[in-house]
Amino acid sequence: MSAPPAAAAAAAKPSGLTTPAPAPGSLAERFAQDATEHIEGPGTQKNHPQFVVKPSALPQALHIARRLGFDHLADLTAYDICPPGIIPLPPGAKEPTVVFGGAPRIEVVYNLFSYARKEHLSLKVKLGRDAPEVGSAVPEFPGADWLEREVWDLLGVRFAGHPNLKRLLLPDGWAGHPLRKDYDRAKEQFVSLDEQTGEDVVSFEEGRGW
Amino acid sequence: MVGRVEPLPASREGGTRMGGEEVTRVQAPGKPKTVNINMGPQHPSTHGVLRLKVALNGEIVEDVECVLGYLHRGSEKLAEDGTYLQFIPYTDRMDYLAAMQNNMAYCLAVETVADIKVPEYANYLRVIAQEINRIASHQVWLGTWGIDLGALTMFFWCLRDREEALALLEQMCGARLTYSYMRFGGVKQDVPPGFRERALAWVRYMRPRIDEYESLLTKNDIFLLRTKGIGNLPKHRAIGYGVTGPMARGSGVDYDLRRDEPYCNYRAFDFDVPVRTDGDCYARYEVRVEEMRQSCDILEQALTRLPERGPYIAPEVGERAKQNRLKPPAGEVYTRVENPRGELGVLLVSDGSNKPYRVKVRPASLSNLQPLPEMVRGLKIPDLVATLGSTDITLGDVDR
Repeated sequence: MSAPPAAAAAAAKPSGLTTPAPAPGSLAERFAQDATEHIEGPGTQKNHPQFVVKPSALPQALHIARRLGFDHLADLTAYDICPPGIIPLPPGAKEPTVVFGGAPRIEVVYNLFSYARKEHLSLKVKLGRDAPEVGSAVPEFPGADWLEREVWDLLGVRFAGHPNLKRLLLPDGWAGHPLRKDYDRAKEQFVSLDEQTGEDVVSFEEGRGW
Repeated sequence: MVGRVEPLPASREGGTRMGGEEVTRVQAPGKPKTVNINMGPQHPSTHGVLRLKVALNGEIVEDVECVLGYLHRGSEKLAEDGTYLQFIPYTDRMDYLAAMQNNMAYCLAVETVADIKVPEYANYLRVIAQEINRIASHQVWLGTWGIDLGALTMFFWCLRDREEALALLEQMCGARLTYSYMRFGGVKQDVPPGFRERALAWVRYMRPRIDEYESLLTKNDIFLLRTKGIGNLPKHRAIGYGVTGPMARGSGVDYDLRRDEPYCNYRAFDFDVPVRTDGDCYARYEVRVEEMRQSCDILEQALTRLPERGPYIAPEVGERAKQNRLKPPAGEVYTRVENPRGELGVLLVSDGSNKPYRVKVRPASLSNLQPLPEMVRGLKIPDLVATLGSTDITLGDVDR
């Protein structure tokens, strides 16, 4: 990637959805050079340089970033981009405007930071909403363990190679992933205690919500 | 239900206890057996509803698994339902011991995405509120950790002095715990007359009190035995786990967002960032106690320099209706502030409507709790309690 990626995309996207170009000589710029073949384009984060990475190449991109000195994985999270029509609207509600455009997708965001150079870098992968899956960050950052479990729990993104990918906050067996935009929160969930293990067990039973 | 004083563990290398008494470990015949027990979710020394599945071999902790979610209230989902303003009270209830910083983190994210400039006077009020809250939060930590270690006086002394801190915060915003004080572009209201003098008097009262706290613990032999060399977390592991705040500084990570990535007007204040390299419970204790002193320094500077009067909120968004109808332009930001526990980040996604599209709060407590199994493997049960207390987690922050 030779041209400054953010500038190229600035014209194509509405204002506010652009990311700053990495400063000359910064680690983020070196990342853009070293990981050129893994980068799809600029991201949308407003206050830190962000790159959209090919989902298949995410572990390699994280490895390059960590080798360059981005040693702190500050945050790993995701959000659901779901255009109107998929979310069931309450009667009489106005159709929401969605400015993000493009296909329905889940965007997983990795916010990295370098303690030595005091620089930020954000990576993003775009996954399809049906059975999204991306490589795990745990081999590079052990702290990603619980963060990925939380993303799996609340948004249903699978992380390939995660040592113990089970729900973090909700009981095992919960039906659905609540932070999906089309999650039906009127649906009743039934929680019971397993007699053998003493673990919470959740199942959906008609008319027996808690 | 206060913590029972555990008997002194034999010195970790075996050999002699304090006072020269010889200790020999008696091993039961046959193979050592691993017993799994639950600690929590209702347990006084888990500081909230944290459940630990502990695998024990005698009194030795072989492994720990944290089970979270008992305080999960789905705040992030609730954020998507209301307006931007309506989410502020939810942030109070995440890390309820440091509600000011939670307010701040969320407002900073909204201000960044909406390009709102904060008046100088409001910045002073924000810094004052946050530093009072930081001292109050560290006092709760020190007091409850004292109970965990059997030093009951610590709890009484800390909570005695925290009372005035809460009274000061109540003067600022009308609440003692869930403040909802920050607004986009400033704070909710000005401080009442006489606040400056009362707060300065409290700061001057607090300095000798912090020395007093130290006189109870710092050179106390029992305390040293319980904390020195216990719960080690080396620097590279701390960074790898994303540990931040006083815990990371106790492990030698010299980083404080107030100094290195200043928000509000922290740039204007002169303060030190205490760093220790041992990475054990004692180092974390030293860092936090010193941080209370530094907060007193910041408070003294802020209170003396606080202008007589000024706009406490940016005029273009100041009115209540404008706050409620705030529609930031579409965009994604990640901002972070220094909470008493560490880095409190907010990833905010706006789609241009009056409701946040996604709010993700990056809690410091979650990442700080994660290395716990690594820190306590091979130690004894009382050391598990001491180590867990030294991480200073709030379960409201872990589970959200």
